[in-house]
Amino acid sequence: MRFRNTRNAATTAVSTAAVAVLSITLSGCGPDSGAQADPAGLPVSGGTLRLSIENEPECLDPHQSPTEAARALTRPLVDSLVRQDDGGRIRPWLATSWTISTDQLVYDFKLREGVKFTDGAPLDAAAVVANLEHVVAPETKSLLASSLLSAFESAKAVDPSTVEIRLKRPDSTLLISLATPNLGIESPATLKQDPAALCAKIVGSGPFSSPGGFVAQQGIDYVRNPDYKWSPEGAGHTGPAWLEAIKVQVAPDKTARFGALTSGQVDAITSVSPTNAKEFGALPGFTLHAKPFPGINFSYWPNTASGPLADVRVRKALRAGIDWDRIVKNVYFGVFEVAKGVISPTTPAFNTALQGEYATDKDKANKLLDQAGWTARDGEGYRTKDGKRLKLRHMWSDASITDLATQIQAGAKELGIETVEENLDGGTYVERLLSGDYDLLDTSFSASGPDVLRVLFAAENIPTAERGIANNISRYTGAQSQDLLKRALSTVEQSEQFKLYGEVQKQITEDAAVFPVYSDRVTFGARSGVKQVQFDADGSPNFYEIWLTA
Amino acid sequence: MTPPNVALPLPEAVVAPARPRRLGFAIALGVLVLLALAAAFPQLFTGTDPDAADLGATLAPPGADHWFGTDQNGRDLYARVVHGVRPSLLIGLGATALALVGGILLGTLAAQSGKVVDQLVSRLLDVLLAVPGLLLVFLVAAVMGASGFTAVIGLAVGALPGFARVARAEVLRLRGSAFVEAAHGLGWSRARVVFGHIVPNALPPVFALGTVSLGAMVVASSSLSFVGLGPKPPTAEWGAMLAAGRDFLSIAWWPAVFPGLAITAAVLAITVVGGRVQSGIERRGR
Repeated sequence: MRFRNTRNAATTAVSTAAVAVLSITLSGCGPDSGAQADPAGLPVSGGTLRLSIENEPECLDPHQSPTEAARALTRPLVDSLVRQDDGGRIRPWLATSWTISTDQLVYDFKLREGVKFTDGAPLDAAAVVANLEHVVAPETKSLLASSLLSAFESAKAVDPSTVEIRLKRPDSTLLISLATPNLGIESPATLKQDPAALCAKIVGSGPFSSPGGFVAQQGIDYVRNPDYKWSPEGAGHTGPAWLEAIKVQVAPDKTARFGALTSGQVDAITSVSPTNAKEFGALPGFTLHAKPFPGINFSYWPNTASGPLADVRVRKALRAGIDWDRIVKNVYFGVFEVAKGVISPTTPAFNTALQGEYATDKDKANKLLDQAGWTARDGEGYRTKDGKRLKLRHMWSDASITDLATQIQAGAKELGIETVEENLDGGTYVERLLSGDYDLLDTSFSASGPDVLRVLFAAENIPTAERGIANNISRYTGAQSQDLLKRALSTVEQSEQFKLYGEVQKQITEDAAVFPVYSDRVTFGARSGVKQVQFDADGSPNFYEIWLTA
Repeated sequence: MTPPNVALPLPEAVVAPARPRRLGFAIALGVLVLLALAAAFPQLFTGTDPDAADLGATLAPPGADHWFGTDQNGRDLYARVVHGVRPSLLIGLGATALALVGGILLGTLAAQSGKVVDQLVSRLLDVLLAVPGLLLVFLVAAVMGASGFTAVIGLAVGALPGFARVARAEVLRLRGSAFVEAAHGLGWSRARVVFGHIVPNALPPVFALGTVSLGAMVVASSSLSFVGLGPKPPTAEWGAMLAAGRDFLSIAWWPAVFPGLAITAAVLAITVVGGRVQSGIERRGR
């Protein structure tokens, strides 16, 4: 039996509703949906948004690139089969409806009629099949999108407007994955190009196109797609985007970005620094838009497979012995909140009962280190065992965490643990990531649901030379958690699934497989004439809705 | 940050300096002595570890506990400024020394060799001169990776043509002078004439250029650290400290102001003393 499922399909994501429109303005300048608040009233069409962003993708193609930057820069270019709205619900987009077989293995999508890519090609079932096959093709070397399709078996065009996707096993996350730009639909003709060509320029059916594509170290320019009339259900309007054009330039220096905004060189900036965020309140004419990131907190990740942190007592000592609250306050001035859990509190299925496990207790930490055998001290006050110093190599490649790393280093030193900061170039970093040659790493990972736990903690996602870059960077294999993650994947009943994810968090906390630091927040600073700033479920700004006044 | 390789400043009037200039010179000399002492023995000035972060006192304002306040990581800024003397000045000093030696060698080679070598070396120097000094450093850093060492190499390569040109001109001038011809007349070997008579006499103007360019070199090395091409953190280096402090200017002035003052004071002192040394050398040369 098959059943019509436009509504029920949304089940896995429903409680992202808790996150809902947590889009907040830190500046106190009123709600960020300026369109409604503006006395002039209705949105105005036209104008160019000049935006300065922090990070550029190493490759634009969302099928290939795993970066948040690629996701944000391609959302204006590619549409998806479905859209995950602010409330976490799955809504029709390029697919107007879909059915799911009772065994959860066959999905049938009915495509919208009349959709055209910006190169003129029509959207049909064959185009969707070509995209899915492009993502999983080994030569695409997809670093994220293919893992979103890990259950994918095959896709076929039943008729020009019906696509059938077959899965190897039930995957309760498929619709959420299909909603991401990583599985966005590109014009099929362009997919035949060399993957490197797609890294510079992609063609979709989105509200904008970019004839010039992405230029490294410079940025990307977009122009409005005048034919656009297939915005997703629940969007703020229909028809073409309000903005006539977007000019995005890359400026990695946060102070320079802020200066460009306040001096009027750009209309908006991403990734506002905490010190600058504090300044928005006193800046007339500018508004800071922010939204808590659902997903994995910014965290330190222990190598649980080898080195001193393979001992769970040392991991627990590090977690309990460092005053994370104080460090987060010092570095982020209250703009970010200290994290007390495996996933961020705005993520559905966040387990609130575990927060006590993340309290600072230095006595407990020192006792644990003694128990683990690190009892002796050397001349510099560091703990030793068998004459070897308790030394942790923290590997990173992003200079923006220098202060945080410095303070965590100071906190670890109080416990008698030396952290060695290794600021590496990208190539060396990846090499050592794949070989597991590190003790500590750091990252956050935004995602709209608790399924992200699988991305970061499932054994099959440990980065290795054979597998390539993957996200289980703590190299965690805890047997109970692995079992729970597997069960959650095949559980469709949401409350049951969330219970399993709650238990996973408990087990990961028990195993101290991650040191949460702070809950990330996506920030977008703009002059107040930039109206209707909203964020997608994954935290990317939604350029389709933005409009400009003077 | 003009590259120090443009031209020799005009000779100063040969008169005894007036009293205020002598006072300025005395102060500058005092500052230099203090800097030299701090570079050699920083522990004479502070017992505090410049890298020790006090998580309970981040961005603490200047006061009795921390004379210059603390930075964003609770590190004592006075200790960091003192310990920063060595890395901050050594890069400029090392680059000047390297450029000086390389410049004299290349200049002499060009002047003493045949036309072909002279043309080759001179055009190579022209090419180097055409590239702005800091861009050269970026190039070196891109190839060799950013560090204090590459900063020295890059700055030295950028400054070398200036020294080489002066050295070449001096050697050419001296080659035709009477005492050199006399030396040749005595049947001395060419090497003996060049290294025994020509080079020693060509040195003073090159050294004079070195003393005045040192200040510019120190500013250039701070600029490199400011943009992240100097010694790696957590090394206390003035340019890097200034860059880090700038992010907090709106809430705390001290992390940027004290390293900035240190750079200013050091460069002023070097320039004043260097200017005096230069005019001394020129007077003697006359």
